[in-house]
Amino acid sequence: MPLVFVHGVANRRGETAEEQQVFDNRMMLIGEQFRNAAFAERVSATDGLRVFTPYWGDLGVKFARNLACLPQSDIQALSASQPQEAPLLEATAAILDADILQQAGVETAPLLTLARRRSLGAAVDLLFAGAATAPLPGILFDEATIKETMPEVAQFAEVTERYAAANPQPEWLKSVADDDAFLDRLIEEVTTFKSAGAPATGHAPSAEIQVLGIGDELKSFLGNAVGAVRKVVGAVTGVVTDVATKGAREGFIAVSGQVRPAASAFVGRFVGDVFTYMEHRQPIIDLVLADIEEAVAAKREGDKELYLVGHSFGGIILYDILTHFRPDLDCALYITVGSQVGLFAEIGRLADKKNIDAAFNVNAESVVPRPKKAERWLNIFDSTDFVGFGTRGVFSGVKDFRFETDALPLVSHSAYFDTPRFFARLRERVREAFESGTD
Amino acid sequence: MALIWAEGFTGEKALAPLWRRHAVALARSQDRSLSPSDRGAAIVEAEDTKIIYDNTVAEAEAALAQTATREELRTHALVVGVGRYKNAGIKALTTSVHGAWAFADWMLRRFHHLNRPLGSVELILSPSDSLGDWKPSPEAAEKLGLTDGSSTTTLPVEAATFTNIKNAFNRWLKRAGTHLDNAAFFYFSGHGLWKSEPFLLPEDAQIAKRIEGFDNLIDVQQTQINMFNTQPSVQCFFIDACQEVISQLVENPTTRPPALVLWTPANAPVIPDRDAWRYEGAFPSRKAFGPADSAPFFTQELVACLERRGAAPAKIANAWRVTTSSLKEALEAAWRWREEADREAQGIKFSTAAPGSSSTTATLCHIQGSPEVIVEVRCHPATAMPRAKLFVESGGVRSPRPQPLPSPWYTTVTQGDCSAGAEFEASAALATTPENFEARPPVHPVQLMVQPRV
Repeated sequence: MPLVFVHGVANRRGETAEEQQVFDNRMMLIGEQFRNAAFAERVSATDGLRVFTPYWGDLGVKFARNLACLPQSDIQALSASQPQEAPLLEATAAILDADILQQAGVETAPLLTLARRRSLGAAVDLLFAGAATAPLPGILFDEATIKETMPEVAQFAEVTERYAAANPQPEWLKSVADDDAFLDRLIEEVTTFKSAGAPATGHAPSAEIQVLGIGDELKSFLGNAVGAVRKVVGAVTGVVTDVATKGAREGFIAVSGQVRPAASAFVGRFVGDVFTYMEHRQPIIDLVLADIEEAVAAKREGDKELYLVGHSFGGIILYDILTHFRPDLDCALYITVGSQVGLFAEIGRLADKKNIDAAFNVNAESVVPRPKKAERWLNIFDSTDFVGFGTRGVFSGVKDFRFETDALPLVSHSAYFDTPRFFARLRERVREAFESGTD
Repeated sequence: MALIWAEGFTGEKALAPLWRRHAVALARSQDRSLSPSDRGAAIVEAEDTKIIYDNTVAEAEAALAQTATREELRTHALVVGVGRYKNAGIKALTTSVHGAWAFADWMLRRFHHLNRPLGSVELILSPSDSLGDWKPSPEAAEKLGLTDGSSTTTLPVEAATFTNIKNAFNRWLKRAGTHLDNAAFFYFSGHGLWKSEPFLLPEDAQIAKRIEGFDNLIDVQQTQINMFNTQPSVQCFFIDACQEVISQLVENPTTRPPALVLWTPANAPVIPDRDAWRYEGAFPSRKAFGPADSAPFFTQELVACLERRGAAPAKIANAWRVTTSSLKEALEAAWRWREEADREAQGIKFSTAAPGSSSTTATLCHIQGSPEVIVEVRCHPATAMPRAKLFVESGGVRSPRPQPLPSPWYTTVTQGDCSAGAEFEASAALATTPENFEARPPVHPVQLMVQPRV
């Protein structure tokens, strides 16, 4: 059985078609990275893992004045007239720090600057954060083309992560002149790296299909991300002009001040969505359950295991489903990322409160067992994610793992799924979970 | 030069062998591994054979013009296949050249028109290094005069650079234009692009980069528009190329299309009854494609439709004809049929365009024997489709749809009496009665009325 990914709080598709396209594309890329990286080894069906991404954001909190109470920073103001660029702005600003912003050339070649200053892996993180969030020009990417290209992007992300891990500072970084040349060379190197590692199949290749055109959708997709990131960094360096003259601490504070409104907006929506869920769980549960039922019905040979993955509050929604609303649901692997299940268990706000309280009341150190029908449970959090919690001391039958998003602490909560490293590490944890369990 | 066949020019006057002799001598004259005297002899031979070839072509063109004055109509074809590109950033192709070979071969061997037979074939190719020169089928080779005892020799032709294509285009159009009611067929297969209109890439196409702009792209739409007052009245373009959008085109700052025409309007009156169509292997912003070892999917379906599947609904003078309209209808169904029948053809979509206006429906060719008919089967209500196991029966043979699908089913039958029906699993509780019909070309729609089973 396939995978159901439940997003967390503060996720909104947006009002305009452009914003919605950015959201949908991001979800699609996350889905493709589950298929092509994290769970590729577990599924043998010819069409791969089926991924479902129920959207419950419209059932979340509604603000009377659209969060007018938020102080605006200059960076957020940059996206005011182009709301579809807000996710890109936040994702890019999250990866920049005072040190990078002080580097010569960052304005015109941010990826190359980051690669040389920090590592190729850091530049790859920024590239794919941009790829996940940059609006796509409709003339180049219609719906069909996006759907065709996303698997290729996800596969490329997986190989690029391995290449960057093996080559943190390749020599060729010294010889490329700008971000466009950086991308060209990266594609070339990763393609060679992939071919070198491909096992010989011993079978004759099937007749090749040739395209009577010269477009390269992968390169166009990533090239769009390169251009988008460059534009954002150029704008960001424009407003954070005094970072270059400040020391590291002041510089950090300056950059943090610019991304603070995004963090405050998140807190506002987090609190709002939590209250909304606590008061009216059923509509959200029903919506998510509908996709889970579809996933269960999609069971077929080669894709028989149900994986439930919850980001942030999505983890809580899934916990409530597994323990209260559908305790009969067989789940091969339950994964919580940047989630608050442990916290909400301790404050008695999960739907299964009665059983949780009973488990806590056994003695001073007793813990709550993993949901009965969830065979394994992985919990992942970034130590700088202030709303990502562990489960140790609260639950048993679950393994906690730290994952460093390398994003600014105020916004690292949203950064997990924007980096290919996450899906690569997740693949390893999934493998271990099925080999040795999570007890 | 690229004229490889002209009506009436056979034996010692066959054009293909004359061209071949010149091409071989020319290649020898450029071979620096030969001794100076051998190269010198080859240069002389190349010049002499060129003169012979050019003189024979001139004779052929005069003869074709004479044919026109006798009110005898002819069809003239120009076939272009590009698989080799000078620009390192443009991938080589083999399917496109296979397509050009297949179309040229079909024109020579199988093209059949009762009133407007084949008059000439001009061929320009840039095959990739892996393919080499064209080796025609035995039947085509015989027609071309290229058989040498029991074996067939290859035929090197001029490269498909922009200039060569333009020159060949001019010659072909003038040859075809000797009579108003002649027909001119232009076939192209190679890389293509699109930005509000399609552009074709010859061998020396240049794609814009930081240091240079576009060059040598062919503006095929404007070329066709410019032919509004150029004979002949029947002008068909068959274009097997992508129509994809690339970022370099989108970012290009020019306000006019970055492409060149092959023809500019003459000082002549508008042709009153003109039938000009462009049949394309891709939809705007989409791709065309094909197997590396054979013709692209559009060319395969085009030839099949011209040969047997594109007939107009009614016989005229006891003959089935393919018209510009019936071919359009047949191709629109053909890609749907092919996409379902062939996994590798997923994503194909053909299209047609009529530049300017088309005021008549010309006969392109006649079908020999009985035509095939594409049958479109659907259920009403459409909600029954995902559960319907459709079938057609023709000539006593039942052909089922491989699996139930929500979309209409396109399949082929021989023209004549047929039936179509659907079976349902018992759990569906649905039923329909088979529909008997006489399959009429090019596309015969069948709608099965589905009722709840009592």
